[in-house]
Amino acid sequence: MSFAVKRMKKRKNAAGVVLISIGMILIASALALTVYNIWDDSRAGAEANEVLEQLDEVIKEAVKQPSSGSTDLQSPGVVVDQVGPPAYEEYIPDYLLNPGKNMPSVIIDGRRYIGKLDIPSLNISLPVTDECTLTLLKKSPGRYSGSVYLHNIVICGHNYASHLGRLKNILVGDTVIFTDVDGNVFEYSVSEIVTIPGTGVEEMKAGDDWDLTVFTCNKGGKARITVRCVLKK
Amino acid sequence: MTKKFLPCILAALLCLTSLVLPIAAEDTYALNIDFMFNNGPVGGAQFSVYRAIEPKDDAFALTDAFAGYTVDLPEDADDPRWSVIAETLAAYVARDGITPDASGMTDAGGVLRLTGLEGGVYLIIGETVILGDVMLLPKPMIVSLPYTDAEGNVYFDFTVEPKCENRPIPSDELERRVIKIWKDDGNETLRPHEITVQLLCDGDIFDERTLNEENGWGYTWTGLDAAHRWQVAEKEVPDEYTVEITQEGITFTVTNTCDNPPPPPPPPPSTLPQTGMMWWPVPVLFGAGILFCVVGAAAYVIRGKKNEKT
Repeated sequence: MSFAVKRMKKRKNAAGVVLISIGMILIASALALTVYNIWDDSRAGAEANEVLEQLDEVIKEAVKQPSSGSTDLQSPGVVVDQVGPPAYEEYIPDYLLNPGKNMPSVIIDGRRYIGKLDIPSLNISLPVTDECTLTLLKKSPGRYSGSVYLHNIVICGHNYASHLGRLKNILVGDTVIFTDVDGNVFEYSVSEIVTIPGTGVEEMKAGDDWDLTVFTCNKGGKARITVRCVLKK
Repeated sequence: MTKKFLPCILAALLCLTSLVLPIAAEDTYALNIDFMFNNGPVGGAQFSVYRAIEPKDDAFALTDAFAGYTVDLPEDADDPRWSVIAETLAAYVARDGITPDASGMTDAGGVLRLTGLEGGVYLIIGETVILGDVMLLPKPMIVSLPYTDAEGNVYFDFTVEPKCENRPIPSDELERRVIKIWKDDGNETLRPHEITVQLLCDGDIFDERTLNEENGWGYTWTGLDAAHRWQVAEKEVPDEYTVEITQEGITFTVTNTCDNPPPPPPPPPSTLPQTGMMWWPVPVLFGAGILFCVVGAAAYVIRGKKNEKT
C-alpha cells in the first residue's frame, strides 16, 4: 500500500470522527441548555418568592392603616356600584373616587411592584412589576397595560414552571386574585382561554368583556396563552 | 311670587336656565333662603350670597371678585358640574374672605329674605349650625336671578332650600384625606412635579401639604377637631389647568383639568413581549447531534470495512 492511499483512508476515517464530534457537541449543548433552563427556572422562582415575602409585608402594613386605601379583605372585589351613598365620615378607597389614578407601587430591590397575582388552582402566587421588560420578566410577571381600577389590566409573565408556565392548565371558572400594594383585593373568575399570535398586539387589548387578562408564551414561544377573567360581583 | 323646590340642588341647577333669557324686566331681585332640617325650620343660621358668575356673550363668566379662580364653568345651565363649582368656590371664599353681596340670618321660621340683588348667578354659602346635639353643615349651592323654570316662567323673587350634611356632636376626632386627580390625557408633561393643598379650619388655613408622585398624590390628616368645619383648597392652580374640589366621605378630591388637545400617541410595538423560555433549541440540538453521530459512526464503520478489504 502506497503512502498516498494510506493517507486517503486515514482522512476518510477522520471525517467520521469529526461528524461524531460535532454530534457530541450538539448533544452536549442540548444538555447544557436544559441544565441552564432548569437552573434559570429555579432562580426565577426563588427571586419571585423573595420579593413576594417583602411584598406581603408591605400589603399587611397597608391593611393595618385604613386610610391607605385598604378595603375589607373579607369582601374582595369591591366595585363602584356596590358602594352606596357615602356617610359623612365614611372612608372611600382612593381607587373608587379616582379609577384613573396610577396604580400605587412599592420599590423592592430597585424594581417597582404594583401588587401580587394569585391563582389558587395552580398554586401560583407571584409579585407583579409595574411594567414588563425582558429583564423584569426574568424576575416576575409584569403589567403589560391597563389598570385594575379601570378593569382593563393585562399582565404577562415568563413561562417558567415557577412563574406562569402552568397557565396552560387553568380552567374556565378558576379563581384569579390580584392584590394591590394598598391591600385592595380583586377576585376574578376565568371566563375564556384563547391563544393569540405573538403579533396580536391589538387583539391582546381588544374587547370589553373582561376585567383582567394574564398571558404567557406557549412552549414554542410563537403564540401567547391568554386567560381572560371577569371580576366577581 | 314664590315657589319652593325639592331637592334644592336640582332647583339651583334648573334655575340657571334663566340665564339664556335677557335680564330686563326688573332691576333688582329677591332671594329667599328657606333652611329646614328634619321637616322643621332652622332659625339663626347665617347665610351669605356672592354674585360669582354672570352671563357674558351667550356663556358664563366669573365676576371680577372671582376672576382669579381658574375654574372651568359649564356651558350648559343644567350641567351637574355646577354643584362641584359651588363646592370649589366655597373653599376659596372661606380662605380668602371675599365680601358677600348680601348676608343675614334665618328667622324663627327658618327663612332669610335678601332683596335688592342684581341679576346674575349667586353662590350661596351657609355657616355651620349647632342644633341640639346635631351639627348642620349647609352645602354650598348656586342659584340664578331671575329664575326661569322649565315651562319658561320667570321668577324675580325666588326661594331655595339649601341641603345640609349633619353629624352628631360631640363626635370623635376626625380624619380628612385629600387626593389629586389629573385630567390631562396626553399632556402629562405639563404637570408640575408637586402641588400644595391647604386644609382650612372654619375658613382659616390650618395646614399645608405637598402632594407628589412620592406620596401617591394623597395625604391624610388625623386627629382633627370635630367641632369645626374642614375644607380643602389648592394653593396655586398650575398653569393651563382648572380646578374642581369635591368631597365624598372623608376624602376631598382636587381635580386639575387641562383641555389642550393631546398629542398623537406613539406607535405601539409590533409584537407582544417574548415570555418563552429557550426550550425549542433543545430537541433541535439533540436531534442534530444524534444525526451527526449516526452519520459519523456509519462513515467510520463503512470506511473501516472498505479499508480492511483493500
